[in-house]
Amino acid sequence: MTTIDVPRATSRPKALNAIESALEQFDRAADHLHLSDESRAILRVPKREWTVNFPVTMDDGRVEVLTGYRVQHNMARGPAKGGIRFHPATDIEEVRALAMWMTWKCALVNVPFGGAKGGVTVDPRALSPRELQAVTRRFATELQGIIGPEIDIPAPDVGTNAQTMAWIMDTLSMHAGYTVPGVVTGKPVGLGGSEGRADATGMGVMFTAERALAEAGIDINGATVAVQGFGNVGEAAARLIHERGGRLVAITDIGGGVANPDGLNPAQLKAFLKETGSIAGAPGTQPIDNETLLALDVDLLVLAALEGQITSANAHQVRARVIAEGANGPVTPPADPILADLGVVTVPDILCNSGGVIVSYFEWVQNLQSFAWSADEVADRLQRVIFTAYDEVAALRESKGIDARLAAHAIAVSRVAEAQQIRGRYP
Amino acid sequence: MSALLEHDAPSAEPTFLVQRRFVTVGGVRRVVRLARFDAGWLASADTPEGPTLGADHSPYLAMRRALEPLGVDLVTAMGLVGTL
Repeated sequence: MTTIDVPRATSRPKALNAIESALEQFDRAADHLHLSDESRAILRVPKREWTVNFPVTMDDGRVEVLTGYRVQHNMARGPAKGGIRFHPATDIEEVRALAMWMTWKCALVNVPFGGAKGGVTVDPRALSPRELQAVTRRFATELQGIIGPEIDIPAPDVGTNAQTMAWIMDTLSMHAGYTVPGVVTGKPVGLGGSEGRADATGMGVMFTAERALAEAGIDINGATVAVQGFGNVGEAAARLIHERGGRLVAITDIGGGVANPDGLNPAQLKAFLKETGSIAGAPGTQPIDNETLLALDVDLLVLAALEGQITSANAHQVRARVIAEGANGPVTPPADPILADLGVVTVPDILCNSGGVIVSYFEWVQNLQSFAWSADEVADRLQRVIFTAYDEVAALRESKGIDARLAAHAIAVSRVAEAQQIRGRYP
Repeated sequence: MSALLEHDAPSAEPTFLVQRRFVTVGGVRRVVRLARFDAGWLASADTPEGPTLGADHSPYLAMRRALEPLGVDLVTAMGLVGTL
C-alpha cells in the first residue's frame, strides 16, 4: 500500500494533523525505546490544560468575548516553557500538540524545562494597538497563578512579540506588587530580555546546518544555500549563513521569491522588504517560486516558512545535500524515507530550531541571577548547548542506524520518561 | 573439575539471552550486560564495589540506570543497547 501525504493546510484541519503528527512521532520513539505502557499513558496526554473565555472592549465600544488556551504538557524536568500565539486558527488541539513538542525540544537540548504552549483565537492584525494591549493584559490576568518563573514561562510565538511579553510581565508584576521579570522570556532587552534572543532561532539553524554540512564534507564557507521563508527565523539564518561565507542563491517569502546564482545580499533584501512588504522584485534578482526553490541543486536548503512543504509528492525532486528544518514540521513523515534514500541529511526541527528556547532559558537564568550576559557570551553558550545536542543525536543515529528525527525524539522522550520515573508517584 | 560439572549439570533456572558490551570509563574497560525477561529488561555493569543494576521496561532506561553510578551519560548508555 502506498502512503500519500498531502500538505496539511489543505487536507484536513491543521489542529488534527498537528496532534496526530505529534503523537505519531512520540509513538515511534516510544516503540523504539520499548517504553512501558504506564510511561506512554502519562506522556501521551497533557498534565494540565485551561480554556478561558474573557471579554474585551473594542475601540468602537463593542464587547467581544475571546477564547484563550494554556496547555502544560509535562513538568517532570522543570517549569513548563512555551510560547503564546495570537492567531485566528488557534485552538486547543493545536496548542496541545505544540505543548508536547516543547517538552521534547527542551529535553533534547537538556534545558531544565517541561513543555507548554498557549494561544488566543484572534487575528492580531485586525486589532488596534490599544485593543491588542487589552487582549494581552486580560489574557495574562486569566493565566495568573498558572504561569510564573517557577511554574510556566511563556515566550513570543506566532502573532506575538517582545512588546506582548512586556505587557504580560507588567500585568503579572502589577498583581504581584513587585517586578517579576522571570515570568516571561523574549522581553525587550531594556526590560530584562537577553542579548541575542531576536536572532537565537536563526543562529541555532545556522549552527546546526554548519555541523550537518561538515558531516557531509562541505564547508559552509562557499556552500550554496536556498532559504524558504524570510521572517524572523529565515532572515536571521540567511544573514548569519551569509556572514560565514555561504552563498545565498535563492530566497522566497510570502510575496514571492528572488534568485541570483552569484549570491544574494540579505541586508539589501531586508531593506527592500521593509520598504515594499516583500523581497519579490528586489533589484539585481530573478524571480523564483517555492516549487523551484525546493528542487534547487544546492548544498543547503533551509526551510523556515510553513509546515508540510516537502511531502511524498515532491520529496523525490529535492537535490539539496542538507535540509535544515527552521520551521516546525516542514517535512512530512512519509517524505523522510524518500529523502534518506536520496542521501539527503536532514536536521530535524526539534533540534534545528531549538535556538530560541535555549536562549529563552538563558534569559530566565539571567533574570533569576539579576545578571546580564553579553551578546558574545550568549552566542558562545548557545553554540555549546546546540552542538552538544547535535552530537548526541548524531551519535545515537550512527550507533543505532536510525534516522536523525527518531534519534532526536528517542533522546528527548527517554530523558522525560527517566525524570518521570525517578520522581515516582504521588501520593 | 567442579566448573565442568556445573557446566554440564541440568538446570531448572530460566535462560536469558544476555548481550555483553564493553564501556571504557576513566580509562577502565568495564563489562556491561543486558538481558530481557518477561517483565522488561535488566542491565548491570561490573564495578569494584560489585555489579550495578538497572531494571526497566525500556532496555535503554535499564542500561542508563545501570551505568549512571559510573557517570556514563544517557546517550552513550543508549548507544550500548544492541539489536533487540
